[in-house]
Amino acid sequence: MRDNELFAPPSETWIPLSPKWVIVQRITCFIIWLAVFAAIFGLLICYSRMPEVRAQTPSFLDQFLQLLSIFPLTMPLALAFIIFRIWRQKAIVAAWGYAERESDLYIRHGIWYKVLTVVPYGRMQAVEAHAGPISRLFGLSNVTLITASASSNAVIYGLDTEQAIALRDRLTALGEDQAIGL
Amino acid sequence: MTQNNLPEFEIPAAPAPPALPPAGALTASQLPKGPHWLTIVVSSWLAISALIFLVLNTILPKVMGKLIGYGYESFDISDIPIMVFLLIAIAPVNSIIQVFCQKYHIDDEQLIVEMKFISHKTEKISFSKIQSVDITQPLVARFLGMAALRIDVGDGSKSQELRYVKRDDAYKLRNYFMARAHGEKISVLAGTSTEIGDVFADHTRQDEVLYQVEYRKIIITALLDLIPRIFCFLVFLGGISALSSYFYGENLLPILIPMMVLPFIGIIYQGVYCKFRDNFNFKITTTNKGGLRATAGLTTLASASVPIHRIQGIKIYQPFFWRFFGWWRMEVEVVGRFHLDSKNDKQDSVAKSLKTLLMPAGELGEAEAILDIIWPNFKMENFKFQSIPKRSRIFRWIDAHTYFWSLDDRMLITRGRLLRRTYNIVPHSRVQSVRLSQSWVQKLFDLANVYAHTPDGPVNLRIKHLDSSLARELVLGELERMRIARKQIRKKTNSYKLNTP
Repeated sequence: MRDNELFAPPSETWIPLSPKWVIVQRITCFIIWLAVFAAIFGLLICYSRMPEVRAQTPSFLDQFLQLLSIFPLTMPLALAFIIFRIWRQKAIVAAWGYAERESDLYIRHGIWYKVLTVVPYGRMQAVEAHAGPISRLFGLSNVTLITASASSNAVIYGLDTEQAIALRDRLTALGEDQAIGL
Repeated sequence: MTQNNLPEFEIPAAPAPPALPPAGALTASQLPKGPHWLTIVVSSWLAISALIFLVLNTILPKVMGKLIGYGYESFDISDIPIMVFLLIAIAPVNSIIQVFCQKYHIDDEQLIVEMKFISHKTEKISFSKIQSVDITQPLVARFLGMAALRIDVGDGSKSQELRYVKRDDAYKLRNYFMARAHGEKISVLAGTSTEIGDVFADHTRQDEVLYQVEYRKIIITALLDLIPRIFCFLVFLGGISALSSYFYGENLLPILIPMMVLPFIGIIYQGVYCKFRDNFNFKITTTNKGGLRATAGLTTLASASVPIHRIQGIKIYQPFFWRFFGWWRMEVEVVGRFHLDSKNDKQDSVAKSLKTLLMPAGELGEAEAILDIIWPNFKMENFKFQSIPKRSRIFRWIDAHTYFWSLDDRMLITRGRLLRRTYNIVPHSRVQSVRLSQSWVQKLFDLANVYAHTPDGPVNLRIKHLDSSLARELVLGELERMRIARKQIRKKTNSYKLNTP
């Protein structure tokens, strides 16, 4: 079965995330990977300046770390990786989508590992809207659906704040209508 | 005035609020207002006895020596700070604060637990949200006639404990809370008395015993569960022996064996005695209100009561070595009974094991007898189990043939695992959400996974590596089945609400 058939909602089409969420994701991705590579390179520099530690490391590990310390070679690689990740965000965000049906909410995401989560409105214990600092700059919010099961883990990222609040209120109302005791 | 023609106008008296019919045999004066003062003794009997021993052993001889003036060294003023420090360090401060600052208010609407120490805290439990009620009686509490009552609620984030109240009051309150959890509108105050348990057992002749564990089964299964641990222990010893003779040229095993005696005894104690103690006299009874109650315990007597409609799912499994005896273990999932912070939980190990246990060891037939009470007419043989496709061997190259799943209009069941045979049973009405997933490798083989999410606990229902079109059909069909099941429950509760005062 083709995956757009496999992960399609039964009738409606997917509502995509806000296009601004791509920018937020790109900034977050850039900051995180920059921090990771800065930490790695910092540790490599420290390592190369400590001969007494180097003397004790096994030779194959030492050689590997030496190879990593050739910065003209590794830095462009790291940079290329960061650019790849930033470029990739558009496809990742495009893979997200949600659909509201009469009694359930459908959420899909993932490219390599595709996931479709369906939460019945009657099973929602609470609906939360929240936003991080970068999201707030762009006027975006996330909506989380909480059920009694921790593994439900249903989050819709990057909605326009008005849209997110409207969705939260709509879901809360639907949840109240169809609510059922645990 | 034409009094004769017109009927006299009277303001009808305001209707009195309908008095709830009485439940247990508790009078207003019997309702616990706070922890009993014996709580101090029960929760810190060890500290108290240590304190008494210290006083008798250290101070008394010195005072006596001072009085008699001979034999003992005289009382030194410098001992006082040490004594005071010790007194504060081990004195049961915690429980004293609890006894003096904690207050309970129980009425026909709710239970309020109030703590007024440095900061004030009030926690309220409404009876409609009660998931289960536990009673725990540690050995000392049993001697003193005390019991701890614990109530788990709603989303499982918090539970309240009345620690400790008189045993009889605890039993009566438990019966009251359970009746309220079943939706009965009754008052907590005095009325007809119902039979309650005693110091030896938390059940009465009124309760029907569904299952009782056999001691032979507890001991044999405890020994069977030890086999893998002892195997690991021996592998560890062998590894030490081999490594030490390889690296140091000398076998360290003879030196190490005396050091291993204590850990070995620890394993045996943990594996056999603790299991025997916690499963001693394990019984499942039905309460008169239609709930299930598990009681067990050798030194500590514990019981856990759950209304049947709170059961979210069942897991029946068979550890590898048990299959030679044909015995199974059954666990139940109830919201809020499976705590992630169980390490910080002060509850006794018996009470902890009762949180999920329905059958420590028994035949499949015994399990089905309990299942028949929980879900009437539930028969395992009515389910036609379907296997997962042959091509899923790519992912499960040893055990693909052991995974099966099945469903009917009430239940979703999976059966599987090579070494530990496991059944996961979840009613459609209890599934919280469903998930369909597919990795890129699975996509090559046209396979997909289906998950049915339930609250945290032993039950874990997932069907991996199904044919993808079947998986999609199963997920969409499951949503429909869940919707119908929820509608039926809603109809039932609505008609119930209308029929009761």
